[in-house]
Amino acid sequence: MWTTGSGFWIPITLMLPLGLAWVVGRHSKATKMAGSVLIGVSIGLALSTQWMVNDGGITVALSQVLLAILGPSMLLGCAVILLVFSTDSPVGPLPPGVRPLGVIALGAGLAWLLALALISPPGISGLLNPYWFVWLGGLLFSLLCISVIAFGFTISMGHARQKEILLLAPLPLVSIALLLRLSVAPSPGSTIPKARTALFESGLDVLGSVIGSLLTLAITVILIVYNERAIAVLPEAPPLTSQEIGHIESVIQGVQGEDE
Amino acid sequence: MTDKGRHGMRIIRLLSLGPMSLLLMLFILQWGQNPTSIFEIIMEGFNVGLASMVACGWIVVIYSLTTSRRHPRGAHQVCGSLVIFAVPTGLLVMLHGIEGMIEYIATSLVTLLAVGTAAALVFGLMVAFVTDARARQEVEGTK
Repeated sequence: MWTTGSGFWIPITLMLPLGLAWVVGRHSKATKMAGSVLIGVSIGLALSTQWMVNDGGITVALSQVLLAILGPSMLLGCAVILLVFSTDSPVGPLPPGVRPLGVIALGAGLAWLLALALISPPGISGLLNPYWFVWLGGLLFSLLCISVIAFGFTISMGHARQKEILLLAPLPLVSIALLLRLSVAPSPGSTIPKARTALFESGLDVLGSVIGSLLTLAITVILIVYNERAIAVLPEAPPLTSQEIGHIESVIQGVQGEDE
Repeated sequence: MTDKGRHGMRIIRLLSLGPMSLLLMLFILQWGQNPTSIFEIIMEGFNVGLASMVACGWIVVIYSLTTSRRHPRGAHQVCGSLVIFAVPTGLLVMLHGIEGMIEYIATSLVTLLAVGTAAALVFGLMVAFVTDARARQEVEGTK
């Protein structure tokens, strides 16, 4: 059906942002519904590229990795939602009974990710998918760094939150263990030197992506602030004269008289 | 700063040694394997940074096009966002060609997904545990 990667890039670069804009913006209910449908269709098209295109190129590899991480990411997302809203949440609280479900979803999501990393990583023609280590390395490095920031934040909030830090501690510890395991033992479809290079590259990819995104955000904020400040301020209107006040009062009295 | 805050800062400093030492160790392993590849890998980080500017710049363009219709300086906003998008795109195309740019954008998309997943997981769990602990403390306090 698709001869090039357009079946992946058109949904990702045009349909998905347009759908999001329709859903988020101040539009009618029908437009919002159309936006949701567009988002679903664009994600479906992007994920199905690996079956539509048979050139073994970037889009096939990307589509395969996105499909591989969809399941565990959704499980982890559900786990976080269940855990957050089954507590004493002021917004849309869930019954406390669903909390164990959240813990099960969290465990299942992490186990699924571990199985993907160690037993059957996504591959193309017997070789490891080149974007798999980009995602996995990025996830592990980010988990490590963000956990440290979260621990610092939790401690500095006070109230001796050591217990909560201990509950979160397995995340960075498992990340370190998995990073070391991947850099000293061969992964299915890859070699140790390739894996080390890919992991190191993924660390710098994270750094580059975060700096690039923050830079774009900062420039956008500067642009918006500049545009807002550049809007011409209208000269202040002089106070109303007694004649104008009298006219307004007569109009109001006329409207009140009609209402009665 | 209170004693608790100072203690917290000391722990943060100790904890931040973990990822740094791990990155250093991977750097040494990589150096031992192929010293000339280090510069290439650092350039990869720079290129992926440019690619994420392209990806985020595209989102800014879409945002400007959909929101600036009723803004008094909407045209300026759209032009500015196009510049934000076009400069890194032009740089990447000049350095690596269109194929290379697409490869870097793909890497940047996957990396941003990974960072987003990690951030959502860690901060979501932290909010869940801390909110739960606070609720328990309040219940214990009222007993």
